[in-house]
Amino acid sequence: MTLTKTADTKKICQTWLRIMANPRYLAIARTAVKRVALELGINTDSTDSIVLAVEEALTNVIRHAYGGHCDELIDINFNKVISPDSDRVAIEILIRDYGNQVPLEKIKSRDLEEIMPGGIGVHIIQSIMDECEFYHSEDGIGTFLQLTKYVKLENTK
Amino acid sequence: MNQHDCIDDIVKSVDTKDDFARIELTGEIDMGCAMGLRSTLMEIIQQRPTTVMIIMSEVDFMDSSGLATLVEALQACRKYQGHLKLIGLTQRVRNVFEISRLDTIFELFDTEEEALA
Repeated sequence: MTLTKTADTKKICQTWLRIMANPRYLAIARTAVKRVALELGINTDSTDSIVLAVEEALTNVIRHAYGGHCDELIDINFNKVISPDSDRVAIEILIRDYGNQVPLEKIKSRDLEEIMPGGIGVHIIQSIMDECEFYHSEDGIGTFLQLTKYVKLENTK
Repeated sequence: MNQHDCIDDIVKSVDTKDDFARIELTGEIDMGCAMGLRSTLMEIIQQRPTTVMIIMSEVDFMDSSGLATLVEALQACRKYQGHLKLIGLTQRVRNVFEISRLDTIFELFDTEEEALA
């Protein structure tokens, strides 16, 4: 399931959110993500899933990129991509941290057969989003996480 | 880490009697609350109640941090053959269990009556 980008593809409804990497602000981020998703015309079920995926990503940033330091920053960027030739839209969410660059090969889901607490955030993100890509900032500071969810136009406003 | 201590916001009530513990949770369980919830649950489980019932009908949101806390509680109960029962999960919270494939690991019930039967 993809959306082929052409010259007629439009990127709209750009929203940018910056929060402190403090667990206290996760609730604020959830509320903001939910409002943005609904504003972009996403239905409630998809919105709930997107909120969870973003929450998991933010939690991972706080825990792994920043090692729990709460005075760092996380940027969240939202885009809605529309292509006139497609019956669906793409919701793109870009999460950017300025912390430690964890080796990309280590960012993966663990074996779920083993029942243990923790370590399933990446699995949840990958289960919910249609596309999930991690890449390091070229300046050596921080990591980007690009999340994409495709939603049928009939399920949007 | 400067944990946001929101335990008072999510633990609505705790009732312990004999070998039975009933904990009612509310609100949103995330990374900020998970540590406090863990402490509360472990303190109760240390008393080795035969059954620990966690009422979650008022829990609007839970992420993998909250799930990890419940997994720890479940493992702690199992060490002495105790039971951890989760009651009244909303579909939104149940989805997190299903995505994580933990819905078949936990004892899930729609109502307290079913859990006590």
